[in-house]
This record gives sequence, structure tokens and C-alpha cells, in this order.
Amino acid sequence: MTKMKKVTYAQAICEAIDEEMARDKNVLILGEDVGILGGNFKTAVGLYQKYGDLRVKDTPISENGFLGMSLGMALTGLRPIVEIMFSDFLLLAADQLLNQIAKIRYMSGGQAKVPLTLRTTIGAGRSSAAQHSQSLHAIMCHVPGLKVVVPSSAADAKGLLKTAIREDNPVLFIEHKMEYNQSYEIPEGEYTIPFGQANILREGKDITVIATSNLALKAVKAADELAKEGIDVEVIDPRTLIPLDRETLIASIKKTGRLFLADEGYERVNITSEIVMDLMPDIFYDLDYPPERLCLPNVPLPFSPALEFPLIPDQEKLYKRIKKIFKG
Amino acid sequence: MAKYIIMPKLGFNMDQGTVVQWLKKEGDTIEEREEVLEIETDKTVMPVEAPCSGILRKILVAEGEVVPVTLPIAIIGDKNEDISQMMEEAYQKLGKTKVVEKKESKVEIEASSVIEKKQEIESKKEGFKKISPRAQRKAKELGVEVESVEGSGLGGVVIEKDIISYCQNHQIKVSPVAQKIAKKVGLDIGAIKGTGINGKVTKRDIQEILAKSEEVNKTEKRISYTGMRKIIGDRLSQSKFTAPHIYFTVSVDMSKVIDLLKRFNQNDEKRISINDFLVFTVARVLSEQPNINCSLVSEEIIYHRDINIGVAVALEEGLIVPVIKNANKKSLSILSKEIKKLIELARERKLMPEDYQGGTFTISNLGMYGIENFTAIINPPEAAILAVGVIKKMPAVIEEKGAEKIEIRSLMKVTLSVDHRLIDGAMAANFLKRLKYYLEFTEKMIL
Repeated sequence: MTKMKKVTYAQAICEAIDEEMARDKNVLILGEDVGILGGNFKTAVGLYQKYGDLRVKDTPISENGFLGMSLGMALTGLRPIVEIMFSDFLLLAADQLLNQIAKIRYMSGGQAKVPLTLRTTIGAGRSSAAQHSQSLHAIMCHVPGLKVVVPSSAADAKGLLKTAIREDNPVLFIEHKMEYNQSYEIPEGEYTIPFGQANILREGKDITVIATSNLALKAVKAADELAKEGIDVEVIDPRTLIPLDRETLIASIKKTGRLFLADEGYERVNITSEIVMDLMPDIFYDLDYPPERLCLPNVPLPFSPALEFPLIPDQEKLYKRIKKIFKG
Repeated sequence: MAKYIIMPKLGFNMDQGTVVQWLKKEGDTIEEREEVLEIETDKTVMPVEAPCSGILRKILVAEGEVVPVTLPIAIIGDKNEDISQMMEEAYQKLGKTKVVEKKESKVEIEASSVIEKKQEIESKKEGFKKISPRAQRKAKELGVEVESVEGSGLGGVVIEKDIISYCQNHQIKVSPVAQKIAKKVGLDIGAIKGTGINGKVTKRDIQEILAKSEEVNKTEKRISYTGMRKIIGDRLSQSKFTAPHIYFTVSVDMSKVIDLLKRFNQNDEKRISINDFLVFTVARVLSEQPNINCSLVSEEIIYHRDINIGVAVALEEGLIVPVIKNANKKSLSILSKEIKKLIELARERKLMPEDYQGGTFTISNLGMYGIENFTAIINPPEAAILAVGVIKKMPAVIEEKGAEKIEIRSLMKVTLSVDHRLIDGAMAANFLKRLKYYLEFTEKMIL
């Protein structure tokens, strides 16, 4: 059995970066406050001291600028890990990300590769109001050319981040900001997790729940509660949205005949729409019920916690929605 | 074990039926296959047989109520058997709240149940039964007729589980050889009572049935009095036995009509027939004499504003009467076109219910068979029907400028049957007088 250790989600991220920087001198990290401060979410603690100013670089508040710079680094042989503090800010760098980074490998006829990892955060719940709480991964999935990773647990985050850093194509790595301080068990030592492998977090026979990011973990807790009601829920974390592990998802739906999806992005044009439509040709004749989902309502997130929390998809809402499907 | 009697599905298009009459009452002892009640679909009245022997414990649906197919309408069981659970289930399926003690809330509950039931029927009417894709695939795989499966999914959707359990409960036991023979000669195995182990249908059962049917075929042909034959029979008996008919015959000189049609049809491929012209003229007369255009429906006389004229069409399996709606508001050429279309549809058996419903007056023409005159039975709930005979060249006494002479004229006899409860002799005579007038002086219709 693998020996486990207890770390926070932030520490697991930090470990992954540290290990990769130690393994490959071309790996470097840059972003707002990643240097002296050790990262806004404490995901780069000690790295500045360990690897120095050249490989751990604080940047000005200029997302489009430093992301463009990182693309240049990647094109010329380095493996930059760029941090953009909130997915909301990806929009400032959208030209570099979606028009340049996502396309250069294709437009150069495969001559240029872009081994760039862009880390960012999603998730509401910090009273950060409408411009710092969004989960904008669906927008980024729309444009071809990026791999998109949405890890749930700290163990997954570490293994997937190491894979992202070693990947020769640009990867958008999306962490959940409410997870950073949570404690998790992760395997000791080095390990990686390949892209395109969904994780069946809990087996069940009555309904398949596909949940992204930390909602996958919340879905497991909700499922444990639902089991007491006699509802046997299978929870699957797709882990990477691009590439999507269709086979694992399809096999589960074929077994249960029922599908529920959860994602913290806005409901309209949510990534779950794409997942369902993508799977539909293979699952249509396996469904006994129309798919349902839990997402963020189509409203800007309010600052007030009293207004904010009722909107955010969480364990209780998952429990109630899934129970309603079965018990009315 | 108690069993439900269900509203049977008698045809592909049947989605509901009306309970016409209970032939047995609660507490009666019933043999298997004995007729328990009569139901009516939009085409026919049929008896429903008991699925097993026992006592008719509970009638769930009153006479006159409309019930979607496959829903329970009664329970047959042993004398002391507890059927409370079945009743509850049945009332739930029927959308009725189970019998409530509190009197004051009863009315409300009944009202809501009526609405619910109506909605249910309407939703069923809207299209085919809802069945999940997964269940569809399973049904195809197992060869299950989905129409007869009860759904347990959201909003009554049939899901895979329902198909599987239906299949387990309804498997007809039949030996492979018997199945092969039955398939070859087109026998419905479901209707055969097996004599093998556990009621299995065997080769001998099939052969016996075939032998019996051959014997009978030698001396006579027997077909059951059901379907269209029975509807016609029931409706006409009802009409003849309840509506006191009186008959009035008149001879009409059709020479002018024939001349007129000759001119109309000279250069026109779309021929206007005598019958078309009759419909046109009758519509005109009815619009002048609305007291003929009426119906007696449950103690009320309804005078119809619309003039919808039925035209009887003979088919091999019986008579059908497609209806020309608002005939008085249509030109002769449009009427003619519409009548041709409806007759064509009738011959192709493609009439929709709305094509043969809603008539207010009927014309039955047997002229093409050379019949001189006949009396027709009124097509209920209408109050009158016009029977039309052949047009025959006859010597006629003509009065011209005070002098009488004999000429060859084309004469036609029409006989009006009226329901004397609604229409008196003078009214009927007036109708015929006016009809004769318009046919003999066609130009007057322009006025």
C-alpha cells in the first residue's frame, strides 16, 4: 500500500511545482505575488528562496503582458508555469491565451511547441463579489488548442499538475480557491496522473453523477447521505474536461440509465451542456430519464454572504436535487 | 388472487373508451370469458369479457365515464379477499382520490379528479405513449408491445424496468412447434387456451382449432358481429326503435338540372354530378328552413347554425357517411370538389373521425343502382334524411298556356324521413316543396 501523508491542497500544488522545478531547470514560475509573498493562495511558499529571482518571478498587474511573455519563453524552450489569480482575470489575457497560445502549434505546422502551464482559480464563497468569484472554464473550453484540467482533491491536483508541466502543449490548470486550506491525504513520493482518465469516486447503480472540480468531492458526501435513503449514487470526476474520458462516463450511464451533472460555472452554456451533447449519440438509448444538472444560476455573484451562499452549488443542494429526482 | 378488468385497447388508434353499460353488478358471480360490461370507442360498442372466474368485487368506473386504455375498470376476486390495496392503486391510476369519508370535501375532490383525468386523457391524446429511449431499446429486444405497458417513471414514462417486469408477467407459454404453426397460419396465440403443462399452448391445441375452423367453413362462413357492422347495426336500431319515423315522397322533374349540368360540364374536366347539385340545393333549403336542421340530445332540441351534410358512401364492410361542413356557405364547384375528395378518402378507408362526425342532415342516393325509391333510417342524432332514387325518363303531363300535353321528362323520386318527435308533417312537406321548386326552377336559386 502506498504510504500517505497529510497536506493542504495549497501544499500539494506547491510540492508539484517544487518537484518539477527540481527535476527540470527549464521549469519556472511567474505571476502576481508568486515570489516574495509565496503566492496569493500560498501555493509557492519557499520557492523564491529555493530557486531564486530568475526562476520565480513576480510580475506586474498586467495579465496580457506577462502571459504573452510566457508564450515567448515556452516557444524558446522554457517550461513556464504562469499563475493568473482568478479565472475572471483570464479575460484580460484572453487574446494571448485564446488567439496566440492556443493556436501557435497549429499555425506553425507543428514546428513550434508551447509547453506552458497556466494555473488559475475558480469558485465562489469568499465574498469576493461578481468579478473575483466566477468559474469561467467553459469559455476557455470553447476555443480549440488548450487542454483543460479541473482537479478535485489535493492528490489529483498534484499528480495532474506534474503531468501538465511535462506536457508539450498549453494546459489550463484550474484550481478551486475554496480548497487551498483544506487538508487531504496524498501519496508520499513522486507520482503523476495522466490526462483523459476520469475517476470513479464512488460506485453506485441508481444514477451517475458527473461533477467537476471540488463538486465531485461534495457529490461523494451527498451520495453517502443519499445511500441512507436507499439511493445508490455513482460519482465520477472527469478530472480533465479536454480531453474528456468519454468511455468511463458512457460505461457508467449505460449501467445506471440516469444522469445528473454538477458544475460551478453559470448554468447557461455550462460545460455540462457540452458533456451531455458530446455523449448523447452513445447514451441516448441508455437513458430512462432526461439528464438534470446543478450549476450556478445565471446571475452575477453578490458580495453579501447571505445572498452568495444560496447560489453556490454545494453538498446540501446536490443532496436535495438528487433526492427529489427519486422521491419527488 | 384478485384481478383487474382493464379498459382494453381494441385498435391501434384507440386511446380511450367509454363505459356504456355494466352487464353485471358488484357481488355477482362471473365465469371466465363471461361478458361483464360494454364499452364504446369512437367507432364501435364492444362487450368486455372477464379475464378469470370469480366475484365482481368492485366496479371502479361508472357508466358514461371515459377511461384511457389499459387502466383498471373493475376488480374480480374471491368473496373474502382483501382488495383494498388494489383499489387504492386503481384509483391512483385513474386519477381519482380514493373514497373519502368527509362529505364536504368530496365535491372538490371529484372536481379535481375530473380535471386530472381530463388532463391525462388529453396528454395521452397528444401523441404516442411516452417511453424512455432505454425502455424503447429493451422493448424492441424483447418484442414487447409498448402500448400495453404501464409506466412507472417520471410522469408515467415507461422505463426499462417496466418493460422487463411486463415481460415476466405476460409471457405466453407456447411450445416452439405450436408457435411455428400458429405464425404460419396467422393464429393469435394470446387468444388460445393451452392444455399443456401450466397451460402451455401445444401443437395439439393449434391443430384442434384449425380442424374446427375447417369443419365450419364447409357449410357456412361465420364472422363475429363486431366492428363497423355492429356500430352500424346498433346506431340504426337505436334510431329506428327510438325515433318515430314518418316518410314523405315527391317526384321531381330533373330535366332543367340535367341541362344545366350538361352546360357546366361541357368544357370542364371536374364534372359536377347530380348528387353534388342535390347537396347544394338541400343546403340552400335547410338555410331557409332551419327547423329541419336539428338534433335531439338528452332532452334538449338543438337547432344547428352550421349546415353539415352527410353523404352516405357504400363500402364493402358497411356504410360510412362523410360530412360536408358548412355546405350552405360553399359554391357548387367547391362542394363538388370536397365531396369527391371525401368519397375518395372513404373508399381508401382514410377518413378521419372529424370527416364523418358533426353531420346535421344526410343524403343517401341509390339512383346509380336503379332504385326508384326507398325509405332511409335517420342517422342519429340528426332529425332527417333524404333518400334519393334514380332519374328516369317518363311520360309527364305538362300544362302550358292552359293546355295539357304529354312530354318525356326526367323524373326523380326523393323520400324524406323525419323524426316525428322534432319535425311535423307540414314542416317536412314544406321542405320537400321548396326542394322540388329549386330543382325544377334552378334559376330561382340565384335570387
